[in-house]
Amino acid sequence: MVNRTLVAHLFRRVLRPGRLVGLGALAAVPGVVFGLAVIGRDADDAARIYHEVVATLTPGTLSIAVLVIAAAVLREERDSGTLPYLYLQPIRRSVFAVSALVAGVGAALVFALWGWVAGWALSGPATGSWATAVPSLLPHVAAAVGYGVLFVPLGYLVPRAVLVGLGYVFVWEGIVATLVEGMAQTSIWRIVMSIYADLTELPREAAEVLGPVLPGVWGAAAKLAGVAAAGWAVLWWALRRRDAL
Amino acid sequence: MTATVVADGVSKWFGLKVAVSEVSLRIGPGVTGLLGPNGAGKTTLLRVLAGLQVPSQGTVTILGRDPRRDPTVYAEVAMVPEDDAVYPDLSARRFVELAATLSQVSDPEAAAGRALDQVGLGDVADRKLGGYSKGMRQRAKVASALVADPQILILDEPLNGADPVQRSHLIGLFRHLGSTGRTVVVSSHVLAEVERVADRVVAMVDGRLAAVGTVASLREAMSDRPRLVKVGCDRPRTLAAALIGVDGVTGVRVFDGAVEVEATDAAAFARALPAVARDRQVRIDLVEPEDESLESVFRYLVEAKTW
Repeated sequence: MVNRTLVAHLFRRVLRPGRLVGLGALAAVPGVVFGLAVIGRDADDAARIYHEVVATLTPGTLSIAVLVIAAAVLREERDSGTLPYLYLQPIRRSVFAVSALVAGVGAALVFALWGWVAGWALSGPATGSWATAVPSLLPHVAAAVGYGVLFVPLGYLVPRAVLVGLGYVFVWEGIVATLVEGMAQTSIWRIVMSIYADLTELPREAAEVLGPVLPGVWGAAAKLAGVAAAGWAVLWWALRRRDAL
Repeated sequence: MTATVVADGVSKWFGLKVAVSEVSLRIGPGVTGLLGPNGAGKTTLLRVLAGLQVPSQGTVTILGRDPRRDPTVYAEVAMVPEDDAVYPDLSARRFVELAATLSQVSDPEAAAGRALDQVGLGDVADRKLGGYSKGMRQRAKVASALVADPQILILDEPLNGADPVQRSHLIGLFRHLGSTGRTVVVSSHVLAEVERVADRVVAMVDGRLAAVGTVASLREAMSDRPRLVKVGCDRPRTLAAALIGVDGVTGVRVFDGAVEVEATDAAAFARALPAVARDRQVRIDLVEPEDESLESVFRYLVEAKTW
């Protein structure tokens, strides 16, 4: 199902040092903001602030970091003219698509986990418990998966994928899915938040992000599996039916 | 000839621009040169043949299989793209090993070593590709194409950037591969280059097939074509009147103080011109062929259909 050589190659290519530093800094922003916001606050306030930061600030930073990294997985190969070295190999397109998605999600996980570690490291002293941040680990992982499988095919198909992706994050998720109740289910971040809400009791401000989406780990897992399947199908189709250069 | 690469009515367009139009051809073992001026559609045709681009119309089969639907055919097919694109931070050895591993070659390291030796990069294989000259990068690309020992090699302008020694080495290598029963397709816009490497030529102009045949038949067709020659002189009308009676001259036109002559036999015209000028006491200050570009030659071949 996966070509390990292809995954390793794409993973290494996309995680170049400059990008690691820049996107690593972006992914750590919620942690830094949390650290500044809890100065002089007691432990209960700090825990509430932590959940609020994860619910409201992390979607903006993590989704952008994942967008940049995942969209680049195949887009860079296409734009630099090196895709033929990978494409003209005896690898079934279905396997090629899975491998690209795995590489993209793997690279996205680097930033998701780094962002979580940054917040966790500050939450321990601030809230007096190292367990406060633990329920947010799975949502961070889920965000890397959900956005990753969406943005890898987007990067392959669209030259200005980052611009289109930002439109999804800020216009669709931020405005349309907030204002139009029926569209909330199309928001990756709300699906991710439904995991968070199921794992811990969120303060009202954080829970409001969910909108009409019901909390539930398994429901969210099923939705993310659907998004992943759709992302794979689109990429498989594109690899077979669209020009590779 | 057993055709290993077959294009049947292939067209490729991008919006309103037609890059390849109604191309049908069958390519078999040996070296085939794809010749045409820049912008003729060679690269697009090769990309379509290799499966990198989807034909807008028509079909392509390689070894009887459609590369778009059956990528396992790439165990037998390799391509060297025209773009000077490599992974600059990889060494040539890692680059070729990557191709070997993706091609599921049984011993990638040994195969990479052999391929790099074949192109003469064995001694510098551990240097990064970013530090290579263009000619060396071309050879590294050829090595990565050769590493899985493919039956079919599609090479898009593989001699670009190579110095004369490298060029000679690569031409020898392609000829050797062709002589061992492999199908080698080499594109170029330089006739002399194709003449050295290929037994058979496919000529393209404006996205269409201009001619298919041997290099000798192409040369013959080119020597028969009418030539346009501009002759600058002090009395163009006198010279034009005198040239009308010369054998092989099919037309004359006076313009801008010069005579434009259309001759079916350029060599005979060149022999006759000095005598005519001397007899009429015309002083010639310029003799210049007007249509010697490869494109004009191909246009003639398309229009005359002499093949």
